[in-house]
Amino acid sequence: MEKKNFLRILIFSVLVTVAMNAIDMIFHLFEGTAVHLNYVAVKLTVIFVSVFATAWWADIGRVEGIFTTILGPVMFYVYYKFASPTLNRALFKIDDQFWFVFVHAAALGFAYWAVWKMVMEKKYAVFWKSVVLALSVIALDFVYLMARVSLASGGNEEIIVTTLNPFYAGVLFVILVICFLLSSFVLKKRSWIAVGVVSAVLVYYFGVEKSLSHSLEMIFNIGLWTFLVWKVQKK
Amino acid sequence: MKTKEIVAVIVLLIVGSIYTFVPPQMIVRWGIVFLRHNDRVLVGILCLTAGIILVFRLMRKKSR
Repeated sequence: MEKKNFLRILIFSVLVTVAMNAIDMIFHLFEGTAVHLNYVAVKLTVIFVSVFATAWWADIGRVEGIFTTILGPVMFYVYYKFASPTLNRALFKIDDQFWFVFVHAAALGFAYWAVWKMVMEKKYAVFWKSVVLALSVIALDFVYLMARVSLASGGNEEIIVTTLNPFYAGVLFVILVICFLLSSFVLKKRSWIAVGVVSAVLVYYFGVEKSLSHSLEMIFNIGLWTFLVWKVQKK
Repeated sequence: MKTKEIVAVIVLLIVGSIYTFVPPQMIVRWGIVFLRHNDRVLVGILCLTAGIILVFRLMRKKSR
């Protein structure tokens, strides 16, 4: 990025952060580690500040990407070590062991690389755009599902932890990538409307529950990320 | 400009270290309490992160 553009750097950082968290949450679901709303919120904050401050004060690039990839997960690990546990560790396994720093670093490195490729390189931009969009949609969808259960259960953290389904996460990711790729090649403009409607119908029928509000959230969710990706790609 | 950045680094690293590494009982004794312990640790972590990034920025500037 030649000239510092606050909005562009902000959207870049948001996309990297949510994509990283989506990869991380999907990994933890399949691995059997609890995806805890409080820790997701802390992870989002720490990773966002690392990515945004590095991009704003230094730059966006290979060296900055490697620096952010190491700094974010290490600072998150330090938080785990010095904060008091908010979830019963006897009942739930969480990602506070040292080796998870490498998992978080790999997720952040991939997310940074994917968004960087999408913004900077035009060669495989459609593919990377589809991956980043699918990951961003999944991250917001997970936060929506957990926040909804949190409201319904009066903030019972042990119920919230059991909300997400790994199979749903995997299937949703594949469906979204295919939808975004097809829409990018076939429809070009207004693709988010088609993907939003198709995904909302699929989520309604194959999602964790048959819910109209969840389907509507999906349309809003996809519209939001498509707009942000369009904004960050626009020169 | 560079002096301001160095001062900012020192302040951020000191404040961040205090809220992250100092035990909560001592923070209460010093009278610098706000919100809950975990919120203070998060603020400390964010200050440390910002401080380290400023150090990285200074090093990158020097190497160019």
